[in-house]
Amino acid sequence: MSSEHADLERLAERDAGLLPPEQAEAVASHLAGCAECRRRAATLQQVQHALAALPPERIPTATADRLTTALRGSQAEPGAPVASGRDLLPRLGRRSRRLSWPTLAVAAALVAVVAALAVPPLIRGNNGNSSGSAGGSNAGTAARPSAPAVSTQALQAVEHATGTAYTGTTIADQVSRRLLSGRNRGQGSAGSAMAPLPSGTAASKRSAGSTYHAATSVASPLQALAQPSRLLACLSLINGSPPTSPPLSVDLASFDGKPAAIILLREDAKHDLAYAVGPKCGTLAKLTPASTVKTPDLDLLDYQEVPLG
Amino acid sequence: MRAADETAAMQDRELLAAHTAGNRDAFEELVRRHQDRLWAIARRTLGDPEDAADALQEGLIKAMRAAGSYRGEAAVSTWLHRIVVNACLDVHRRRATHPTVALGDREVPAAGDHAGSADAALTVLAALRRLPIEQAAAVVLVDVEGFPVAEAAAILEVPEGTVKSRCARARARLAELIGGNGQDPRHVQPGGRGGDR
Repeated sequence: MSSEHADLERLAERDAGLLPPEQAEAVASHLAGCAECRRRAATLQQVQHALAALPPERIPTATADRLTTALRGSQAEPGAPVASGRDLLPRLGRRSRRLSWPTLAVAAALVAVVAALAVPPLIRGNNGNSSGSAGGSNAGTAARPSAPAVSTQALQAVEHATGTAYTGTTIADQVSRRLLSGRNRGQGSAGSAMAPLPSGTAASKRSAGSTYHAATSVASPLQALAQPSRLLACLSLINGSPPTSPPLSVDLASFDGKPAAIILLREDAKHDLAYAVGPKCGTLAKLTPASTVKTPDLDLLDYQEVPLG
Repeated sequence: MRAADETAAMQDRELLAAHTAGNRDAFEELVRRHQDRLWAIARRTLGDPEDAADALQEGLIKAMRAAGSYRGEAAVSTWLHRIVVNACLDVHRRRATHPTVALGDREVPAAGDHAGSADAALTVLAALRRLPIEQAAAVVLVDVEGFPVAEAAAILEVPEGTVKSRCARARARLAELIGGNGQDPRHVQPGGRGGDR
């Protein structure tokens, strides 16, 4: 031991307390008289320090988003492929979202008001209950029933046709305002600012899309999306799988001058996402929930995060 | 265990219980609590960010579905880490069997004459990629993430002595790669990642 240098591995084993006492002592006494081995031992220490000093690493936002999507997808449908339409959305929409986010001050003020009112996540069951009042502040962990069906009634309850002219720069503001007014008016049931669609109950009543919105200001290209079955198919496209809860709201309106359905979905406890979806989502999407429609059919115009807190 | 850690562990258990009871948001919340650390481990063990994302996703989906099999013999956090680390090993083995890109041969960047701390971190990260995957996982858990050897052993499902010896060999190899043993770090030869010794 005294004549040969101790190799790095042996020194590392000694540091880790892996050597029997007599061997550890032999290494120690060798080290006392060998500058080269002391240098090696010091290098080992430096390695450990360098490892401990690596800066903390946070998961990139895009990776975290993909992960959330994948988890939701496989929660809704065990065995389903994890790729979904939603996976593809960020690539299409992120950039424009970032670019069109200049109204921070106004939006932040509104968001603060919304948050102060403790907007509950409007997680609804499959029973068409649209009250959305039960959430309280326990947003992240509110229980959702596991049955993966959204009823026609539940969709109708959140669907409106305000004809609002949403734009990329104001959508967060406008959506916050609408939610807020919905709260104040009592769980989004009525009010001229967000008149609900005529609410007949039998789906057969609206089999003819043309009569359904005859009295409203829905632009004709959006007629298809006014049908619950079409809307559901469109939501499935956005979601990547049939939705298990209705969207927070659907507003048949316009976005940057183009006819669009503004669909507000709960993203997580802190964010809602507003999707501006063009008419094609309603006209081109296949109506079978499990259909795999290619992304170009998802007529995505833009979307924005609407932070709540 | 510190009081804060105990509280966190309790909340983890509650979230997992809520998930198995059918609460559809509980698992997401559990993931949110641990994803940064799980990501860091996957990223540093595997090197490649896409591989790390794959491993994280596979592991967590598996955990979500197998939550009912969690028996509480380890902390939820340990259990989650174990599943994700195993997924890292799986992803690595798959890549090794069916390489889509050339494995290994990822050159350790030279520390440079003006090696600042950023350079040093880069060098360490690059050198980590050159370790056998089992050694990388052990040294990332213990030296980078600061897990006690006992917990790293529970995560890796090997005896503590194995964790220690994997760490020792990893540190020796890293010292060699980064510039110990009389080698100029700029002349480190690229080499593939081998199996565990």
